Amino acid sequence: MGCEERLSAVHPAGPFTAAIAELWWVMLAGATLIFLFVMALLAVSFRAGGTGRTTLGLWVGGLGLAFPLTVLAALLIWGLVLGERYLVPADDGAPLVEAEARQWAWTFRYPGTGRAETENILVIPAGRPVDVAITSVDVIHSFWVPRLAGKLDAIPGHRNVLRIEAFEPGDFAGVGAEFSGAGYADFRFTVRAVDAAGWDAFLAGGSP
Amino acid sequence: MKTLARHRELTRIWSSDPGWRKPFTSVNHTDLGRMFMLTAVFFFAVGGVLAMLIRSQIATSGSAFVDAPLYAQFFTMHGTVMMFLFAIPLIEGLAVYMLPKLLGTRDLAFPRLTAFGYWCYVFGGTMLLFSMVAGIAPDSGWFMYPPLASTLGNPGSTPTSG
Repeated sequence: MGCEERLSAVHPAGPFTAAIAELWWVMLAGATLIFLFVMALLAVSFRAGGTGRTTLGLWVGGLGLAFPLTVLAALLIWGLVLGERYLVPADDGAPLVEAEARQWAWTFRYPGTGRAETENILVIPAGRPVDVAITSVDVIHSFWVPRLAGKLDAIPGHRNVLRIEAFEPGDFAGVGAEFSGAGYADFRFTVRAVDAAGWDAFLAGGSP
Repeated sequence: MKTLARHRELTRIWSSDPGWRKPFTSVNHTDLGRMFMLTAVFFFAVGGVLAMLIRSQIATSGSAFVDAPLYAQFFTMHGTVMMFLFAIPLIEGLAVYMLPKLLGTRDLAFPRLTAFGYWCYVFGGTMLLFSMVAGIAPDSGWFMYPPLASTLGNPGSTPTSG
C-alpha cells in the first residue's frame, strides 16, 4: 500500500469505515445512474418535438416529489443507522482511551489500566471496538483517522466519545480535521493497532 | 399639488448630484446598486489574487513561498473577502438595483439607509484590506471559531474583539 493511501477513507481498515465506504460507493453509483437518467430525459425532450404526451402527475408528483423523497429518505435512514453504530457506543465493556488535544499535539491516556500516557501515538487492540473519549485543552480540534472512523471534534470543556476499530494490527495515520492555528500543517498522530499479546504487553508498560 | 408636479419635485430631491460628486453623495438606488456591484467585483479580484497566492504556496510540497502564519492570513482573508465582501454584496447590490424597478416604486423605503450600508461596506472592507497590508489580518479561518478566533488563539488584536 502506497503512502498516498494512508489517509484514504475509501481504503477502510475497520468495520465502521468499511460501512461508510460502502455507503459512499452506493451513493456514487446511484448518483451516476440518476445523472444518466436525467441526461437521457433531456436528450428525449430535444427529440420528441413537444407533443406533450406525458402528464403533470408523472413529472411533478412522480419524478419531482416521490422519487427524490424516496431516495433521500432511504439515504437518511441508512446514514443515521450507520452513525448511531459508532457515535453512541453501546455499554459493552469495550476499552476506553482518552484523547486530549492541544496546539499541536495529542496526549493519549489509558484510564484504569495503570499504563502511562503516550504522546502523538494511540495504541489500541486490533479486532475489537475501542471507545475514544475526545477533548481539548485550548481550541477546537478534530480527531480523524480516515481508515478507522469518521471525524469527531475535540471541544474544550466537553467530552465526545467515538468508537473506532481496526481489523488487523498496523499503523494508521491520523490528522486534526479542524484548522487550529499556525502549527496545523504538522499536527498529526498515529493509531497503532496491536494484537492481543501486544496489547497486554503495552498495558504492562511496554513501548508503543 | 398635482401628481405630476409632485413626481417632478420628488425626482429632483432624490436625484444624484451631477459630475464628480455623484458617487459620493448619491442616495439613489440605481446608482448605489451599480456601485455595490462594481465594488463587489473589485473585492472579487482581490479574493482571486489571494487564491493565486494560496495556490502558489501549495503548488509544491514544502514550499518556502510564505510561512504558516502568513499562509493562514491568506486563506482566511480569501474566504472572508469572497464570502462577505464579494458574494453577499454582489447579490445585495443586484437586489438594491432591481427591487424598486420590479415593484414599480421610486426607491427603496429608506434611500439614505442604502447609501449608509454601501459606505459601511466600503470602509469596513478597506479596513480589512489595510490590515492585510500591515500583516495583521485575521488568520483563524473565515468561519472564525472561538476560542481560536478569540483571545486564546490571537492574544492582542483579534477578529472577534472588535
